[in-house]
Amino acid sequence: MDLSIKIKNKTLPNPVGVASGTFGYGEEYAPLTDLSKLGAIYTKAVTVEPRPGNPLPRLVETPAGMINSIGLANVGTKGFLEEKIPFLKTLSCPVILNVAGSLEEDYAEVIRRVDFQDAIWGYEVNISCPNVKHGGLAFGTDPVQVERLTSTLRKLTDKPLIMKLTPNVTDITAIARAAEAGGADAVACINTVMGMVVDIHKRKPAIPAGTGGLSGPAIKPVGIAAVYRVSKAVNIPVIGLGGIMNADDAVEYLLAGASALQIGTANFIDPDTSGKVLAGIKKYMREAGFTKISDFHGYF
Amino acid sequence: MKNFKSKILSQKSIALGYMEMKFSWPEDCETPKAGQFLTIKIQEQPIPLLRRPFALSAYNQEEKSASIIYQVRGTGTEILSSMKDGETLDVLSPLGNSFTMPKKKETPLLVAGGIGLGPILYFARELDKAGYSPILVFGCRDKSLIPDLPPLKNGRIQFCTDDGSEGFHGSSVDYLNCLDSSELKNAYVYSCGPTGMLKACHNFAVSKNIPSETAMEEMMACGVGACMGCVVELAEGQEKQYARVCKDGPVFQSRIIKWT
Ligand SMILES: Cc1cc2nc3c(=O)[nH]c(=O)nc-3n(C[C@H](O)[C@H](O)[C@H](O)COP(=O)(O)OP(=O)(O)OC[C@H]3O[C@@H](n4cnc5c(N)ncnc54)[C@H](O)[C@@H]3O)c2cc1C
Ligand SMILES: Cc1cc2nc3c(=O)[nH]c(=O)nc-3n(C[C@H](O)[C@H](O)[C@H](O)COP(=O)(O)O)c2cc1C
Ligand code: FES
Repeated sequence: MDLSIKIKNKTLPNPVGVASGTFGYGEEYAPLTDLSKLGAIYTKAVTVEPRPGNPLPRLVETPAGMINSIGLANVGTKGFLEEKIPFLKTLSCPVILNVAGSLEEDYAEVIRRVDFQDAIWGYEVNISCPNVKHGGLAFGTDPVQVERLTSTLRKLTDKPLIMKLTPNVTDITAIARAAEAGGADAVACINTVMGMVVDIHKRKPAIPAGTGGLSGPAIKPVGIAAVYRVSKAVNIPVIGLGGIMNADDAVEYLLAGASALQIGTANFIDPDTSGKVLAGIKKYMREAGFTKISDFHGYF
Repeated sequence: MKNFKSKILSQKSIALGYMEMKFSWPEDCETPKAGQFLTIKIQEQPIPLLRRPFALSAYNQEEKSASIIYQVRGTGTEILSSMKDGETLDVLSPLGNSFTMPKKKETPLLVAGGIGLGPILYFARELDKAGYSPILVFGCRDKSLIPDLPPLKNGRIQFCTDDGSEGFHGSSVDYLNCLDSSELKNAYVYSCGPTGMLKACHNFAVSKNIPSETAMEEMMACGVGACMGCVVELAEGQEKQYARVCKDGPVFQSRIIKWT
């Protein structure tokens, strides 16, 4: 059974990775799941300068989901190189750096400063964070900006470049095509969906920013629809995520057109979800007589 | 830290709306310390979705069991309270840091409010066993909320009620203010409970120039330090603006917290 997925000139050993922002930089979950079995670790976003993040509370639970307003809290590029890379170097699974910024130049600066690190397999470019005022989402909603940013970053690295798309747009396929035109090697869909909870006792939004990013089972149908539409619109691999809790959810994404997957919020509930999902995908493949991941595709 | 399955050994109500649950602790899991906590996956269905955090309130080495004290507040704790002896819990523990042992000559003043009782009780019993004379002050609204607690050997437990229906009439910090100066000379304050109470304990410690630690609570998603969701804001002059309750805490020196 061949579970590997090729992206540009590199191979992911299996389709099940862990999503950015839900797995730190790997270390926190090392006692709880076998990191060497992961298809990839997508790190917490890294920006040029360290970011303290948004005011609290930053989390609120919703029906079958949660809303976060972390605000890209992270150690910055220098902190990443000094504090996080040493551990990531010890891992055998691919490490994909999630890059964020406010300006095109910020994204470029992060990649310029870390690209020499062999421990970094590739990049996932976060053009879809709903929790910061400048950039992030603003990039990801405009095809012209997406194509320009992608082609700028393309010139800076030979490593795989994955653009992570937001569902908070009118037509996600237009954004995906722009990323492909700019030279992206894959797209990931979806980032969190904009959501809000009102505290009726305090008569104000439950989180200070008002709106935040909804994740978890509540957004799975949104993610599946995005993957289905995007995979028909582009010729590069589509990485699917959003609400995957178990192997059945993962198979849904694969049948809808995903080539690889990420487990996000589910890590919080069961830190070994990725291991269980991979085992479940293998079982499904055996029973269906599938020999490779691409056997999932093209059913509808 | 381990994710394990545990059997519920017993559950009982200890005060109005408060339950104590005892459950098995695996042989190969480290001993939890006072102040540390666990998270429980309530059920397979995604509502409620997130694990629920609770502080350890006791640990029994011989029996290989641990306990929590919890308040029935919403869906998650309601489901938990309906679970029967012998049922299985999905536990992730021990998480977070723990209270620091005071110096030998110090008098530990342990202040608990509401669901803050669990970790304070655990620590009081540890200190009591270690030969300290802890004073555990538990404050609540009225006597219906006072749990039935076995006495300490060397230390004592003081109940305070807002309405005076039992114990000291007034808040736990009012009680601290009534202690005589000899008891406060080498005191060390430890607190866990509602934020207002924690702030008052901090102010009390500052006014008496005694050290103070506090166990904080924030909404959590991962519980292991990965999501940056459970932060508290730190006082000015600290190296960082925020600290994670689950990983850098839940116990902090109260002077490093920004009390608003
Ligand atoms: C470190 C820590 C230790 C705790 N120790 C205890 C304890 O020993 N005993 C006890 O009774 N309670 C404790 N709590 C609070 C306990 O986690 C909540 O009461 C419980 O999660 C409520 O769940 P629910 O589904 O019944 O209520 P819900 O209706 O879902 O929520 C009621 C309130 O509980 C809090 N809450 C809900 N989910 C979480 C979560 N995932 N993380 C943090 N808070 C949440 C929120 O303030 C919410 O408004 C602790 C919390 C933390 C962070
Ligand atoms: C607490 C939290 C923090 C996140 N931080 C990031 C981030 O830094 N960069 C990013 O691209 N996505 C981030 N995400 C989005 C997730 O990677 C993922 O796209 C989203 O949660 C949907 O997947 P899920 O439903 O499986 O969680 C974050 C999500 C959560 C819940
Ligand atoms: S709950 Fe995730 S960092 Fe504390």
